[in-house]
This record gives sequence, structure tokens and C-alpha cells, in this order.
Amino acid sequence: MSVHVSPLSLEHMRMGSLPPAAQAELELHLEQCPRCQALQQELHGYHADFGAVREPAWVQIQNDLEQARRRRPFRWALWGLGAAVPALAAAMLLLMVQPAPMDDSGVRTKGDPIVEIVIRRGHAVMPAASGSTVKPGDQVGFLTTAAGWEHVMILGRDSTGTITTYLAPEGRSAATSSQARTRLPLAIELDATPGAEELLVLFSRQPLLASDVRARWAAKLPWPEGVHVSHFVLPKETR
Amino acid sequence: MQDRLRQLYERYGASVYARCRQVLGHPEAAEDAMHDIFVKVHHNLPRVPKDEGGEALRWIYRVTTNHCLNHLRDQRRRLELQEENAPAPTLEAAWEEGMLNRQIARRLMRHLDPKLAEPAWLYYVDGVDQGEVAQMLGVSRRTVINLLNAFKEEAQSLLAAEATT
Repeated sequence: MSVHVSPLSLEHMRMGSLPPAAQAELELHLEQCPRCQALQQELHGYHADFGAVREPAWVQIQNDLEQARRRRPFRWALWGLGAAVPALAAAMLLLMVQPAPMDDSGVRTKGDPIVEIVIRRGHAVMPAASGSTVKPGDQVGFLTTAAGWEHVMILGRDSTGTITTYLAPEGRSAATSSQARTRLPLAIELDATPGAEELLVLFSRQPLLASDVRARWAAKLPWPEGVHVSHFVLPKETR
Repeated sequence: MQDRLRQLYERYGASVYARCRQVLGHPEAAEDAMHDIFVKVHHNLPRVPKDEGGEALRWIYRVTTNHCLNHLRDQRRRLELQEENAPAPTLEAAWEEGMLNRQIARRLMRHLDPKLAEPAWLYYVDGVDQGEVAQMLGVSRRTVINLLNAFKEEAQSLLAAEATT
């Protein structure tokens, strides 16, 4: 055994996944070593703290996975095409923007807006989702279906915590130009800041103030009613 | 798949959270990291070993450690003021104690070569011996020694530079 007990060994001990001999050796060491006893106490404290965040954190994980899952069919359909003929995929992507179903009056029935993101890398355009790996220099584009929501705003946050407003003319949400599935006239070029890039797309019934949205995001405050939020996390490869 | 993820979360969530707290320090940062780690686990579910013999825990623990060390490196530009303003630690004292305290370790991990971070944390902070580090990383003991020497060299240069500024 090492000079001291590693945190991993203590976790194994807690779960009973150590062989009996190793378990006995570890228990003996713990009896004699104040440093390892302190580490064990520290871990106990963290385990207790986990009890308070267990459920809310799980709900958040599920929500993010659910959002990613909803976008998946589109993602896989275009990945196949992109892998076969990247150049064709780039061209097709622009042509494949089809109007969403509308009712007789030409107004789309209200529901949740849909946000899809695409990554342009060189000549290739690839559909992406939260969790997709990006590189510096990639451009992120957006396909949205407003579904009756009148306003849209887009912000980004890099791993240093810097929030950038990408779509909020005059500091407010932009009016949605179309209710059908459409490509936004916006391409975000990713810089070389290491770490994940986060993107936030907010649809709302009323225009939002960019300053308010930035403050809420930074402070992790809940979003007001009448706001639909799509959150993307894009891990960045920098090497 | 969701059932398997929930099962992993129930079984290992506390361990992941505890590891995040140990490496990152702040409860909020630990909670955010745990969230990202389980999203990552979900994307890699077929690669998660079975629970028998503690294999799954070992795998998730390594993912967690790496995620947290990467996070430390990424956040170096938004260091907490109090930590930035803390007097430069003397590395000699840390080596003499045989362990790095975590505050010193976090400072170093933010600035040093990421490939050195994992073995350095395991050896200098967790107190795992070189043989076990080699086993955990799937490399030879010689490689671990080389990585630790490289880490020590870089760390000493960095702290010397800090001391002169």
C-alpha cells in the first residue's frame, strides 16, 4: 500500500469493493494514521453534502440529456450525409431548410421552439448537439423553428466565464423573422480559449433585455415565465 | 440507457461529487463538474466497465479527476482574488512534507502541462505511490517517474518565477 490511503481506496472501502486482505490492511492503516483519518472524515462530509444536491442535480442532468435527445434524429440523418460527401452536405444543408407545418391561416401552431446547431469546419458543415466537440476556428450556425414565439436572443459563455451577446440588436431580443424552420443570419466563430463553449438560445413572448439575461445567467437565476431556453455545451479541442 | 445512467448516478454520484470537491474546492464548481461528468458518462455508457471488482468506480473516478484538472486549467484566468493574492508558496516546504497541499496544487495545475497534472495530483496530493499511479494510468513506473520529475521541474520554475515578480 502507498504511504497514505488514496481517496479512491477509501471510496472502494465504503462500497465494499476491496478484497478482504486489502480491506483489513487499509483499516489497520486508518487506525494509525491521523492524516488518512482526516481524509476519511473529509470524504464523509462531502458524501453528506451530496445528499442535498442529489435530486436537483439529477433533474438538471436529465433535462440536458432530454434536450440533446430531441435533436438527435436530425443530427444522425445529416451526419451520414456529411460523412459521405462533405461538400454536398454543405450545399444540401442550405437547401434542406424546409418550412414547418402551418395551419390554414399560414400561422404555425404554437408549441416549443426548436433550435438546431450546425458546425462549419473548412468546407464541411456538420449538424451538432450539446456535447459535440468543436475546434478553434469552427463556425456555429443556427437553424430555428420559432413555433409562434416572437423573440429570440443568443448568448455564449466561454470557459473563463466571459459572456458574449451574439444576437440582441440594441440590447434586446430580435424579432423572429419567420415561424418556419429557418437559418439565422448568424455565424459564431470560436476562438482558441480552451474549455467548453456554452451557447444559450432564448425564445420569448416579450423582448428581453440582454443585460438582464446576462446577469441572470451569470448568477444562475431561474428564467422568468414565458421564456424558452435551449442550452448547448460544446467541448473544445485545442490540441 | 437512462436506467443504467441512473444506476451509476445512485451508486457513484457521491464519490464523483466528493472527488470534485476535493480537486476543485468550491461546492458550486463541484456541482457543475458533477453535472458535466455524468453527461459525459451518458455519452460513453458503452465504455463504462461493469460494476464488478470496482472497475466502474475506477473508470468514473479517472474521468472525474481528469475533468476537474482540465477545469482548473481552463479557469486560470478567473482565479479567485484571494488565491491570486496569497503569498507564493515555497515548493521546498511542500516537498519536505511529502505532500502538496491542495491550494498549492490547484495553482500549479492551472499553469502546468496538462499531461503532467494527473500523475502529479495522484502522487503529490492523493499520496498514491508510483507503482499504483503507473497501474492507474496504464503506463510503466519509469514513465511515471519521468512525468513526476518533469512536473517537479516545471513547478519549481513556475514558483521561482512567481517569487521574483
